[in-house]
Amino acid sequence: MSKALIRRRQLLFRLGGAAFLAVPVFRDTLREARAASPLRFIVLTYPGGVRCAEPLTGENAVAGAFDMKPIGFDFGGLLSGLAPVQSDLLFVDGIGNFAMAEFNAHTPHSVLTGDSRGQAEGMEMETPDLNSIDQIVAKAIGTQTRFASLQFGVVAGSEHWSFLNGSRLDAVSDPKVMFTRLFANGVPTASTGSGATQAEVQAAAAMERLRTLRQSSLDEFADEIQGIKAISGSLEQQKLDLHLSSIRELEKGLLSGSAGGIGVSMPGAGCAVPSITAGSDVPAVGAAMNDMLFQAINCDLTRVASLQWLGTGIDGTPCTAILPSSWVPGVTSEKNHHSMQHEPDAEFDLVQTWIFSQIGALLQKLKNAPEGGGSMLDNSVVLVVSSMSHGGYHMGSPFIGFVAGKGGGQIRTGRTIDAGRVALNDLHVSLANVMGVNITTMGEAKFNKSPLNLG
Amino acid sequence: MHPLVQFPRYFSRQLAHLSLLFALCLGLSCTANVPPRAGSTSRNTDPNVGVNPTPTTPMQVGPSPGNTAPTGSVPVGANGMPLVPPEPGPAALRRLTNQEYRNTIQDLLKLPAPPTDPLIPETQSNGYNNFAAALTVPPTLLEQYQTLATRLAKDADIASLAPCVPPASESDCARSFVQTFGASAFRRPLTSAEVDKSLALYALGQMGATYADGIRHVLETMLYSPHLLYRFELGTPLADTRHALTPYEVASELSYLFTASPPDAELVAAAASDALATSAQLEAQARRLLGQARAHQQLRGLLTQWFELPRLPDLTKDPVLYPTFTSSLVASMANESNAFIDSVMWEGDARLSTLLTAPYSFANAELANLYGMPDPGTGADLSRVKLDPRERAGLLTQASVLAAHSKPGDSAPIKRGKFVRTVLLCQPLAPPLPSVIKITVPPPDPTLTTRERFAAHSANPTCAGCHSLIDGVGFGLENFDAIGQFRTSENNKPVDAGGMLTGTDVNGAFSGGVELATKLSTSAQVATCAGLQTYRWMFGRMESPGEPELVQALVGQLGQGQVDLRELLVALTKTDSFLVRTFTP
Repeated sequence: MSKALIRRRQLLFRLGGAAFLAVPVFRDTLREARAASPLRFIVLTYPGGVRCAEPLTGENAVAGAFDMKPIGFDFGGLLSGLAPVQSDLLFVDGIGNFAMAEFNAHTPHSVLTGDSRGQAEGMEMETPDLNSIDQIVAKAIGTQTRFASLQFGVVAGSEHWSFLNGSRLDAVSDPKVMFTRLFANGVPTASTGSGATQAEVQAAAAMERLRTLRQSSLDEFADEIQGIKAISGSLEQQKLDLHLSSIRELEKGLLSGSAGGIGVSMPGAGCAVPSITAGSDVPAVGAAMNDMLFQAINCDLTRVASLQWLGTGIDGTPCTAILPSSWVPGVTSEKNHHSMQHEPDAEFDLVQTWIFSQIGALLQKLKNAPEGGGSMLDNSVVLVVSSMSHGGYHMGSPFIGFVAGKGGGQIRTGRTIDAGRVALNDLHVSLANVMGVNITTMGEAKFNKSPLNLG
Repeated sequence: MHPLVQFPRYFSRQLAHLSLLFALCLGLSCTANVPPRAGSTSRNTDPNVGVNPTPTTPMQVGPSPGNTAPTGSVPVGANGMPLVPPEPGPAALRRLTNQEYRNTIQDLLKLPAPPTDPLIPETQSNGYNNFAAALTVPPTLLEQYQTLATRLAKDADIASLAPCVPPASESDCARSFVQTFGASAFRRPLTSAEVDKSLALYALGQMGATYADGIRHVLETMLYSPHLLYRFELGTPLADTRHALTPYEVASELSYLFTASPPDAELVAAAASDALATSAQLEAQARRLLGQARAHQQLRGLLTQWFELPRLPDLTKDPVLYPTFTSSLVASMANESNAFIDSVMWEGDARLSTLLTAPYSFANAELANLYGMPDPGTGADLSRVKLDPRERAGLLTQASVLAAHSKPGDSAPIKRGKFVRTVLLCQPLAPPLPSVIKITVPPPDPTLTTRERFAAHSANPTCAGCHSLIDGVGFGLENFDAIGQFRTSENNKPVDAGGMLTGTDVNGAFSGGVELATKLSTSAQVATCAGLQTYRWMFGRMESPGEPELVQALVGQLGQGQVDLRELLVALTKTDSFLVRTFTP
């Protein structure tokens, strides 16, 4: 194992992130299959919702929203790319993002937090106790893996969906950065057998030295952070806690004992370093991110991940510039995706269909990975959610998304349930409960009613 | 207070919300087929919006032995009382921006250039990349710092950084290195406990290896220590919850403000001798630092972020309509603005009004082509050019600003109007109506001008409330297309660039970008807004209650639109805002 690892690491160091090649399958790192499969929590977000039947009746946006009927949100239309995993999906009617108050320009803040306080009147507000559902889950189960959680993005911009104690966790949209983080950092264990050459023994010793020194640096930083916490006011504690958790995460890379920090038990399907094509175009980046997210789960580098498909188009983010005509077949108009959201038409449908097909591709990967008696998707909880239901109306309701995966048998999929017009918070709580996180409310308490029965 | 500049109640909080107001209707218009709704100008009344209920009384500044007690030269209000912020900004840890970090590493290791190793971009907050609350150390970044530190420690020239020649012992040399290099890295002297801990790291690195290896380990660790990554603005107790920044904290505040770099030897010496305490001392340092080359970079950083130019590299334009819009042209646009800012700031009078109305700019061949002026003959290099005074004047009419506030195929008058209203005038707009109002894009129509296409909502009373504040401004820039080219006709129809400013201290009709810029240059509101934007950038946060008034008074003293932005920065370094923090236990 060690020789292959060291050589590959040397290769990666030499590449310096400049080029991405198909890297050989990394079976050396496989360890014994674990006895019981862990549950994973994945959030997939997309911008702009779908078209809805018009006109909207009623003056109250929230109450009236549930009367809007999505158009083409079915397997013959927008969700055609999800047809192969149809039986793995659970649709929930009667859910809305109530935390998205009135005309709330900065919607992503509220979607996963169930909290309206992350922004106000269009500007970002500092809210120290803001936590998104993925981070609530990560806090509970993240200590078991190399990465507590990972945020993937495809042209995500600097928008904020995930919050950990008020800190914004931006999605990483650069495949190279994510690849390096997942697979090219960390310090491999270099065990040397009796047949090792002199060079290999030296390389192994160098790795051990690097591990020891890095650990001493991280120990020192953790000490320093504790010292700084003691002299800083309460307002800076969250920032320092995040710093401390970053230190702990790098420590895991040292301790876990092989490249990329892989070394936690491996699923039977095999853990492969994804092959990444260089390129900045949306399909290539999207495929790379799908692949890396899958492998991060497959290699048990993390059990909590999110993938943000495109920025929603908040002023200044790439979505206001990006033209889907360059990457979605059939789109000819030169409207950016944000403009399309405001006036959804058949071409907008093509874009959304394309995004859903990419989401379908990831779900299919999970479904194709055998695990226990079923698939990795069976042991996952995947939440697919949009920034809003309808871009033109800027509405948070109804929830235009779905749940995928059976949550280890706790979620009965292949059907639609009606939640009875409650807030997204209740769905978040229910999904966290499936993940074994025992909470009864999340976000602003006023939006919580009671958990849903998903079984 | 100027009678026309009435800050609304909770002004600062509202300002804190402005740039994203209307964010989702940029360049969009309400359709006319929605029913009017009572209370169409109602505001978001979310009770969770944080407001500071009552400004506290101005602080009484007392002497603080051994500390930087604020002194003199704070702006003086009409009643002769010093105008100090009722509640100084929060004590904070300010993570270095990527540029600050790279400069810091360059200076520490005496590198020929800042390192270019990848660092994930700063989290943007409210238009700026240096807001303390948004800059954290997430795992990805910490790992990138680690990679960079390992590489640089490996490459470091230890003989030069930590020379050790017998008879000096290696342990003495290590101690000396830890103390001197550590003081530079942490921007303050190390405590004896810190020295001991670093020597332990040295010993670990040196064990079974060499002196240089031990030094490398200390070096590597310091290069991404929290004490290096954060600028400390915590201070020491002054009175109540108020803390005065320490001399070393002030030294860092000054140096990063003006040079995005750690304190130089002179600042360190001043901090060590407590010579950063008086107004005169602060002013002298500020002026000295303004003379350094990196100050140019900083002023550019402020002004380009204020004008929202960092988005330029991400712009996409319709390739059919604008085939000349290449990455090369985008780079030229950015370079033009940088050269112009440099010229006004360092060769000119640095006045806000000059930035807004200067009759000259900089062009190369492709910009000259875009501007319809003769090729200056310097190829890709920029040279100073005189502008056609009927077409352009100042930053607002530069292609960079116009293209950045347009859409891919559209001049986007709404977006431009909103930019002027919220970013240049700092006037918050009421949020658009709840979602019963559908916001749509007027579809392209080859028989209409952009102005005609966007006329619908102006006629719709539901939308007109706010759009009357926006559209009249944006329409006045209709002579510029989506990439900033001057035009007099669109779709074979004449362009109407008649504009109207309302709700300002420079109300009235105008025609075209030059007249708009000229009007704005005389506005006290724009001048105050420039001061506020400077203030946000300088302190890495939104203003607190009371601070807009301080800025307004200061800008007024410095001549409103005639304010010299360098002088504004110097003056701000002498305020309590610069020296005092509110500490929340």
